[in-house]
Amino acid sequence: MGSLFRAFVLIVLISVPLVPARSASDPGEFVSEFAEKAISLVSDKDLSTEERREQFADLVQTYFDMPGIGRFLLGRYWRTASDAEQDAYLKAFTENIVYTYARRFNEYDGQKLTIDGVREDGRFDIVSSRIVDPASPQEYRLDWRVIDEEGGFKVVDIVIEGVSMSVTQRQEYASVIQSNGGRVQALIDALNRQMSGIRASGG
Amino acid sequence: MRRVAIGSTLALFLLAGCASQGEREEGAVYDPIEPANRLVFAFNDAVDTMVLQPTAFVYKEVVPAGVREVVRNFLDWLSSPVYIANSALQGDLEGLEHNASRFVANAPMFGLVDNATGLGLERRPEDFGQTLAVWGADSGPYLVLPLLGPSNVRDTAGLVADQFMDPLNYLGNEDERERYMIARRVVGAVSLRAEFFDQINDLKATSVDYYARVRTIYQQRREALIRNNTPPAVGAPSSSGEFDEYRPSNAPIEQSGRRSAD
Repeated sequence: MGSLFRAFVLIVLISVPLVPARSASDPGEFVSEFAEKAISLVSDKDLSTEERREQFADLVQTYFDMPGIGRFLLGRYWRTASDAEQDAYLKAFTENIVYTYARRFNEYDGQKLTIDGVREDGRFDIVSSRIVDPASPQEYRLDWRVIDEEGGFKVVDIVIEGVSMSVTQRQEYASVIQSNGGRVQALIDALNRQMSGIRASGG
Repeated sequence: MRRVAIGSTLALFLLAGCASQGEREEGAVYDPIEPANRLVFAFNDAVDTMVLQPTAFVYKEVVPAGVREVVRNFLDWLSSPVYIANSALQGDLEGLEHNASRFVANAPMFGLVDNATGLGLERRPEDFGQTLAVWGADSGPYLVLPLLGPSNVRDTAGLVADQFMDPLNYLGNEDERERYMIARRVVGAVSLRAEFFDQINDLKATSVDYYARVRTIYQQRREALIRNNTPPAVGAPSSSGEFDEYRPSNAPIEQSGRRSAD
């Protein structure tokens, strides 16, 4: 019995570092944990662009509810998509997000994230924060919509100065699908085309 | 002023000639004249690529950051009377005090230096489009104005009204006024494009439908400004109605089993 318990403890200990997102006890702490990790990743000059992007992709997968966001962005078209389309879409969308943000990494210049507070919003928690730039008095408001899922917090949306990233992309995707006769495949093609454009320009 | 009038007349004319679109999704922007808007948008985008972007690039590279900030401060300070008038019209006493204090605090340096922000008085732009919204006006159809960019019927009306609120538009003769107004718009556009140079280029490069992206960003940003950046009303189940339907995935396991969950 004793050794069984020890083995159990061992398994738990081993598996804990694999899911760092589950350690934060409140949403504000969770967001600031993500910000710290993202900043240290961006500031690490030893990493190549590709390595940095890969690590960022892992970070995003850990802290953001990517499949949930992906499905949300597709709205009512999610149900009309085939299994293969859903998979292809989720893959293209995740890649798109990672590349979109990774492109901006070289703009990083010592900005910090200050957490201002947390408020409840239905099933969600909204963490309000500010991006503070030591070199300029200009600040940007950033709200994080966080859901408390089984097994930990996940970010589902970022709102920059009142503009929601998820809502923006949802409207954009809907527009692409609508102007192509409701075909989800048209969106997947557009995402992949755009990705190859970004890759060709050196990412 | 003439340009605004032409823009809105054209838009209203096109509006009258277009049939309405089908169903609208939750949170979607009302855009009944989308084809015409897309045309104007493409024209504006071409002007951006060929004229505004190169000008802003040179401006950004040649003019030191400190001077560019002075330009931004001054342009904002010039709009103070409009901010103050609109705060008053909105019955927003706190905003009125805020903008009046900003105006006074920055007046000794003619608005070139923004000391007010350091004193906790951040920029707080108010315009008649926002005032109309506070009075209960609906945004009306989305419009893309030639050269002036994204707008809607309410904000276009506001743009015209704001011209009448600006004391600087009553100085000099008509010719001088016209030139001054155009100069201010052009400098404003270059300054803004330079400030958000990489961000705007990124917005364009990473979009699959640039027009649709700008359209929703415009609406969301306007709504935030109308609320003066305060969170949406409490009491709603979820501030953005769209998130009511959000279904979290339980990450990796979800991948294979999601269809049966529908």
